[in-house]
Amino acid sequence: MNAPEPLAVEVRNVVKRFAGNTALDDVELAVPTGQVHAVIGPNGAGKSTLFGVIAGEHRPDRGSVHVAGRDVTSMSAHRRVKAGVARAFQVARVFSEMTVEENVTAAVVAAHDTSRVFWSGRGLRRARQPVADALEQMGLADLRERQARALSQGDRKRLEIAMALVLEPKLLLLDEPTAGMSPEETAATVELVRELWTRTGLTVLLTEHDMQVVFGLAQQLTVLNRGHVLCTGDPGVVRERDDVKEIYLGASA
Amino acid sequence: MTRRGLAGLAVLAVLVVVWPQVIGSGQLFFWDTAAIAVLFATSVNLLFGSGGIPSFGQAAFYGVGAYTVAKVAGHAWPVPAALVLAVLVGGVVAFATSLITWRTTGLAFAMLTLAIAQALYTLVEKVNWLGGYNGLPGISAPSLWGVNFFNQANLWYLNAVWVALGLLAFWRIRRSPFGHTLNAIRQDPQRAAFLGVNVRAYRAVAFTLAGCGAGLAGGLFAYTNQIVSPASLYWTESATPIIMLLLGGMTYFWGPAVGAVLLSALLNYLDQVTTSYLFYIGILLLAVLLLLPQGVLSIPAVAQGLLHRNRDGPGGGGRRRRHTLAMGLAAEPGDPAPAPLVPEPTDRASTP
Repeated sequence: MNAPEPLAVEVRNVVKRFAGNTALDDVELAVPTGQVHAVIGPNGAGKSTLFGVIAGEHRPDRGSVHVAGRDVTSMSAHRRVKAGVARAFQVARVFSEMTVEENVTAAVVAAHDTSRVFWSGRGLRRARQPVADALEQMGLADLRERQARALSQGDRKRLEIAMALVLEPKLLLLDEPTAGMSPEETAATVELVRELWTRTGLTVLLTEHDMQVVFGLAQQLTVLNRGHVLCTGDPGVVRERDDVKEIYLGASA
Repeated sequence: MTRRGLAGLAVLAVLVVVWPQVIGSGQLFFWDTAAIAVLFATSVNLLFGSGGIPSFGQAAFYGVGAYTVAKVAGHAWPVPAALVLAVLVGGVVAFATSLITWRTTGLAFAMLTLAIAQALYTLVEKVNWLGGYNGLPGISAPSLWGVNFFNQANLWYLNAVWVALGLLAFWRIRRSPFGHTLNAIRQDPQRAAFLGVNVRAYRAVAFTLAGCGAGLAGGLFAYTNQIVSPASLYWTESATPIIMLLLGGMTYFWGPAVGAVLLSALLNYLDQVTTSYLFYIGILLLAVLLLLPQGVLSIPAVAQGLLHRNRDGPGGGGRRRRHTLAMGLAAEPGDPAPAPLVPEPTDRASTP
């Protein structure tokens, strides 16, 4: 590419209010392509709202959101997926009455744009190989026929990431990817995201409470506090800042 | 399709062919209407069973299909052309309805479809061109390739062929990527949207396809009944296929069909022995909903579950999906119920 790499995601001056409460106040965020970027902050800092604004769940009251150079502010959630945004939810959301395999199939036919085909079953057959590959990649092959509702929280989250990945996103949003996981599952997930990133160079934006996960993965950090961006920078630098220490220590003290 | 499935279909085909000889032509009218109900209920189940789309106004498209055939039969349109037109008109009216209801879901959607259907009912009742309150009498299917449809057996075969075509179409839809996606939308519409699925558009397409099926069923009813009246658009006509699919089990493709035959037979019988047949239908529906929430087709799974003391409860057997009518009527879930921290045992794991 000769043009300068566009930012994978850029949030400009975003304001979002809920019933008078300002959840996001003039938030700016810029994540270069290929970066693993974490948004941290105490409860109620606006992390999930920021994710919702990027994914298309919430429309900002002011400001704009750009993905890979495209203004997606007015796009609905499903069109943003086509623009390259995929997400996993804080509490993993999968189709609970479907098997693991059927869940990924739903994602694959949506990604292939065959999901609208009602007159032929070919799209489902053509999805088989990509589905098998995705399950293999995420270590879910053994659980293929398991009902999604019978999965552990950790497996459910991995299934959700598998569904996000088959959409071939430019930007992957992971909202607390290790929440509710055992230490082993957490370690495995960190390893998985790292491996994924090394292999695909995917841009990942994540929120996380677990600071070990954050420092193990993120190349850059943005600290949110009460809807404001406190600072953005390298993990090592951010960690040593007095104001960051204060909101974290203040919150836990 | 499995070998057992194919064998079952072959038996069914043979039964359909010999049925006029078995049953005698006097009883064929009842079986004609039952076959039409099979198609109508199956079309409605694309909405309830697959999409979780609770429409209470499907009679509108059924009635519109019936009136379409009634009008063109007067001009001696050949049967296939008239029925294809009924499919198209049913689909177009359903599509228009889906545009009106575009932004609504759940109970609001159900009430809107009911209101639209009732409005059409009133309109049809008032329009002289459609025969007003009395409807349009004297409908008959013109002979096709030398086959005369005044013959009761031939009319039965006509119905059987078109009902089979309709069922084939809905089978195809259910087993298509679209059907799979519709299943996903039913379980979590917002999640589906975050896969890049335009949920409203998919619901509109499903609604249109179901309208096409209802239009075909209505068209067949016009030929069979020989008279169509506004009653075909009345709300009770929308409720009947819903009762049928609840009775048979809406998670199964053949559930609505089984429910349609059962309810038709039951109504036919009760009508002869009592005037308060609705009371008995009500009791039956209550019993099925409470004891067999997945319909009569879930009996084998339930029995197996009881035998194995399956803790998953009735209807949880095998890979069968569980959902009930209430799910479709609930408003769009903002957030799903939190996932259990302790995983539920799978059916297989709890089976010794």
